Amino acid sequence: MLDPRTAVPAVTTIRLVYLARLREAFGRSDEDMALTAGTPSVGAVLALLRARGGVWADELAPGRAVRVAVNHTVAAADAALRNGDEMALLPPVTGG
Amino acid sequence: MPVRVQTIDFDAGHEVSALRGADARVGAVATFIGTVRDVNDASPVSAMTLEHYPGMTEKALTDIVAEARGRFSIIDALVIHRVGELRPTDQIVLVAVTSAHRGEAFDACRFIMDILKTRAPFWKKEATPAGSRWVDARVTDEVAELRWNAGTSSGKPD
Repeated sequence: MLDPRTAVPAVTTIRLVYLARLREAFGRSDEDMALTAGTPSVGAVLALLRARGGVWADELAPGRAVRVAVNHTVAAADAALRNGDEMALLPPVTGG
Repeated sequence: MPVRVQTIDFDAGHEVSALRGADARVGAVATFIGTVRDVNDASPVSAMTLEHYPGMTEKALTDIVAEARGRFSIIDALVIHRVGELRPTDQIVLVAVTSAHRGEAFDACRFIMDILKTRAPFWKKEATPAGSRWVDARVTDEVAELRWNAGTSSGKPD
């Protein structure tokens, strides 16, 4: 007997947050993104954002100094994302 | 609370008195105050706006203070960082550390500032005659953090 829940594709919805220079470059401070494929990771989301082209591809090109935080903790590209996570893109910090 | 992010100014004397309280174990207090300069990278600066990432900022500062407590025998520590619009000569950041002896207080105070510079999510945008610009991160700040991580026996930078 098929579990009816498995018939529904698993959707992970995350909140993206853009800070400082990136917020201005992208023209928005945050957005929600629904992810359906497999187990979503930080790297997979970055790839989706780069695929938008233009300023997204420029600012997030490999080698650009952009750090990612998931739920307020710095995360690596292979970090897994769960429903409701907040993934923030941070340019190099300049406080103090 | 050992860390605060606020728009209003702070009074270092008042903050140090509150941090010391009536604790007679304290034999040393080290403080650092960062202030706004009127020039950066050869351009006059008339104002700067400091923004941060609420939630992560407090967590990052709390983690840095906890790391300082683990590395140095200090009694207490306080970090206040301002956000919003600031002008030349305004105070930006206060780090205050109490300990029994001066060495640990100096070292912990410098450690907290060095790590804050590279890990706490604050960003400065400067107003200059040529328009406003986001301040670039400095390589010297990365070097300062790396020296702490290099792990000499005392944990001090060279």
